[in-house]
Amino acid sequence: MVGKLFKYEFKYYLRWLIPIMSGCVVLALTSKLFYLVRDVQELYLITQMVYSTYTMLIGAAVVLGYVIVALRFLKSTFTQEAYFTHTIPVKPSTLLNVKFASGALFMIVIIAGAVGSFIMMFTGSVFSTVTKGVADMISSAFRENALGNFILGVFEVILLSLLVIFVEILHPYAACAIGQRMKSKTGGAIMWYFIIFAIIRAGSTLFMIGNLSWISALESIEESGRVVPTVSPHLIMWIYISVVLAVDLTFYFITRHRLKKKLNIT
Amino acid sequence: MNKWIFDPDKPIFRQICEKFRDEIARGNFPPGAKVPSVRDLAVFAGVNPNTVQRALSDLEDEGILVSRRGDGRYVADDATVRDKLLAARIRSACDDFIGAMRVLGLDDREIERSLGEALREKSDGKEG
Amino acid sequence: MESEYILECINLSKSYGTIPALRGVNLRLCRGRIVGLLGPNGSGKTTLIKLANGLLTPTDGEILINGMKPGVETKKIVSFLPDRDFLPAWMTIEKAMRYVRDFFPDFRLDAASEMIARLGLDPKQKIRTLSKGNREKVSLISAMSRDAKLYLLDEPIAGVDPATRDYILETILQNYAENSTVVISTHLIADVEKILNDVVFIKNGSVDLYRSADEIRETEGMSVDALFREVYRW
Repeated sequence: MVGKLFKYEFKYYLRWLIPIMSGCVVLALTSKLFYLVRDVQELYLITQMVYSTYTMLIGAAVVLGYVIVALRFLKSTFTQEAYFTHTIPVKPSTLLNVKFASGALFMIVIIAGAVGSFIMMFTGSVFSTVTKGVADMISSAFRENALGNFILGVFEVILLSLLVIFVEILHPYAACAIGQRMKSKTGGAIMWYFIIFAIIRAGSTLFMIGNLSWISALESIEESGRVVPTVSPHLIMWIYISVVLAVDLTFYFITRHRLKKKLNIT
Repeated sequence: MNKWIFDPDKPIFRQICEKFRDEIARGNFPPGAKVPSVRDLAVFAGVNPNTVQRALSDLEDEGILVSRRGDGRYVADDATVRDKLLAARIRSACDDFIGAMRVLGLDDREIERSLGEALREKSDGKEG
Repeated sequence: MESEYILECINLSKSYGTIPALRGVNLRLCRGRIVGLLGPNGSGKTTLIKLANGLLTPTDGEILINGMKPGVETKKIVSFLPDRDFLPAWMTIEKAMRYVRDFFPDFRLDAASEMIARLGLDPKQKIRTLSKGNREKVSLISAMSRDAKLYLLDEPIAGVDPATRDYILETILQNYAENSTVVISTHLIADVEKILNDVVFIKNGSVDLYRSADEIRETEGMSVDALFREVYRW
């Protein structure tokens, strides 16, 4: 049964992925074209316009991806296909896990495509840029005997990025799950999306302030007069990772609880 | 057989029995004929299969139908069953007619005379 | 077969906020019966059916399917036909049938395909391009092609023409599995009463009567529809 759930989630996302990815490829190829003529003075204005438009479009594609994931959850779990979804003999937690995993995979692919297009736009090609960049970083880390540090750093960045992607998916999920209590499931979801958004904003601002003051309190001043934080960047990363993970788990368990115990499909 | 119409004010299983007795009396269901399955009858009649089952069961108890193990139900092979049903039908129709005439205030002789006249007119109508 | 009753409501209550939809309903349905859940709009019929499906959770009391609380095991044996479209509109009829079969192993794909063909519908047609009547028929077919122990049909004949209605009732009679129970909720009593074994009268969230249809006709000398009008005259 889990396999079938995945099958239909993938089918849905594939129908969106194909146009979006084709769009990214078209963007990438056109940017490559403009990259080749980037030094031509006469075309400067057009090249700049193209760059800014394409950057916006790539950003829009990512936002669109999140909207698609959120709408899929809303539609299939609380509005149109809700009746069928909840009469299938699967546990609510399984349903949530499958949908979340599929949505996350979809977003990872979209973001990878967006980043790829972006890189291609400014460097003319993705693979050689990335390979060269990675090779450079590894060799310099190796030279400074900081290979372990480097690998840890890469791991932290990847982990944090994934957790942030997850938060952007679980946020609308939780909003849908809480808002389903209201008469209009869509209205409730939107309302709670913004309520949660405001809470997160306030919370992260407080966190930022607290973080910065804590770091500055631990600063030391070198002989040259430069202010140097004595806190290891890794520690900072792991603080961020923990906070984002906590937000992820909160959203996840709110959604799960609502699905298991407080379902209200009117 | 036209699709059966049921009066919702009377128990349906009784009406099913009536219809069966009727059809057998008229000869539409000859002795030894196979009765359709409960489900087919239910679909045909547009009624609940349990109701059909009950009706057929009652008819079995009356001896009008017999069930053969594993083979479904059949109209009783006995020709007297049909004769009895026919006789009962005729008698019932007569009783109704007589009752209706009595309500109109006719006595026995007037009833016979009216019936005779009506019959003759009908036959004339056929020949003419 | 574990429990004696396929559906049991024990003091079942459900409120939406302060608005009560069901008040302390007690009901026990046996297997192998076609039961009419009869009541006006807003009487709590749909709420009761959704509670049986696990689409809603009770405010008080219990509802049991085959002795179990609504969950994964009960969903395997319950077939639900809601009062609105539930199959994905963008799918073709064919794909939609396979979709149902993917999640419900007891779905009889061949029976469903045959019924679709007999209706003269092209299985490659998308569901959203069908007329309302045909969409309802397709939904009904997908619900009745399952070999479920309990069928819950919410207002299957509301808003359709008489010919479609006859088709729906006929399809129900033709397809429900032996020894399973069919619950038909409706406010159009006269149209369905002939196929019902038992009837439940419900109004304002309370069950007021639960008897056999023929028994009503025998003892009261009137149709279920007539009795309903009388019971709820005031």
